[in-house]
Amino acid sequence: MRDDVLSILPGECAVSRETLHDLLDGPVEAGRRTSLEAHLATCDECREVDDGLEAVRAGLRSLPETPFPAVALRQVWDRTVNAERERASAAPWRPRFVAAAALAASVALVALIISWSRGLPPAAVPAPGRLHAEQIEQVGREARQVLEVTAAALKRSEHAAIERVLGGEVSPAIRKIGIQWPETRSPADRRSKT
Amino acid sequence: MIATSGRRARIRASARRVIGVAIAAMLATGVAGAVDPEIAKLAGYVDGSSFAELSDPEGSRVEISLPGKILKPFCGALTNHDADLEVACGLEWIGAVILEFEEGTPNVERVRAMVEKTEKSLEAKGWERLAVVQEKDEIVRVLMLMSGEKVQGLVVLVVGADEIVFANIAGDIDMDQLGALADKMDIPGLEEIPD
Repeated sequence: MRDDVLSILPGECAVSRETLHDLLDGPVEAGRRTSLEAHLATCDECREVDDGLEAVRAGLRSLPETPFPAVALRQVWDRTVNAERERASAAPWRPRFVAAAALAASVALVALIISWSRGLPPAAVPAPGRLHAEQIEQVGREARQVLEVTAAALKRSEHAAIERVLGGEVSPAIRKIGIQWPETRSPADRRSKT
Repeated sequence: MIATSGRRARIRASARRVIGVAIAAMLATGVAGAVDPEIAKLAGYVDGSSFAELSDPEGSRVEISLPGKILKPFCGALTNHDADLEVACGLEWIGAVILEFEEGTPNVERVRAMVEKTEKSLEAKGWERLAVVQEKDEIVRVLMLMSGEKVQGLVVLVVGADEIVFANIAGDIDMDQLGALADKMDIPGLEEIPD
């Protein structure tokens, strides 16, 4: 319809009316605005149209703000939020929630008991990817304790093996680990240095 | 009221199911003395939980269980904390039961029998007795499991006048690093090498 009207107008008027319509939607490029103002200064018909459009714009701006009708609001509310609530309440969500919470608590309890039964206090069970400084210290202390017991026992074994070598007896297992004589110093070495 | 009691009944039923699941989970994993199944599969792992049963209420009991999943990821932090723990970085398991007795080790015969039984059981599985060191007031036994040239497991059994120690490490055991750790220790009695 608008295109039909514009098609019968002279060229400059058609361009100006197009610009006037576009101005209803928002700002237009500065060049178009300048061309429109120049045309309105010389064309009474287009100026009348512009005045009429300005009256419409002014009228729209002066309309009071009417709140959304309460009835319409209730209908929208019932079809969206309340409908979702009704669907949720129709399902036995409460027992499920309680069961889920209890299951989570039970799993945590089982994990706690198992970790405790393994000799690790719960605090020493690391969360994935993290171990606190105190836990590092505890793990280090425990590891060192066992390693020292083992290392000391090996040292005693080595000591005993040296005595056996002196006595002409060597355990086959001792031979396998290959005692490093220069580092551990054989009794003969010790004797030669004393 | 009816609705409330119905809800309670559902909650009780849910709770029973949950408790059932929890008990089943506990039984499946085995609460007492349970270890990670992956650890139990290790060739060098030895279950020392039976030694914990020898504990005395008057004494002390320390149980140490450090799986590789704690040792390996935090190797850097552990070695920063204690450089001598480098040896722990290759291990899949560090475990121990350390019992101390106020009035001396009770049931010495029972303990000896248990130690000998453990030793025989391990030897039957390919472990080798590295040494039996008899000292004044204690006997130290060391058993080792080798795979080719690598040491995969070590067990130390100490039965003293007032203590029992079971220690087990498993994994890639670097004997040089353990030796270096031993060299740093002041081990009573070893400084006197008989002429």
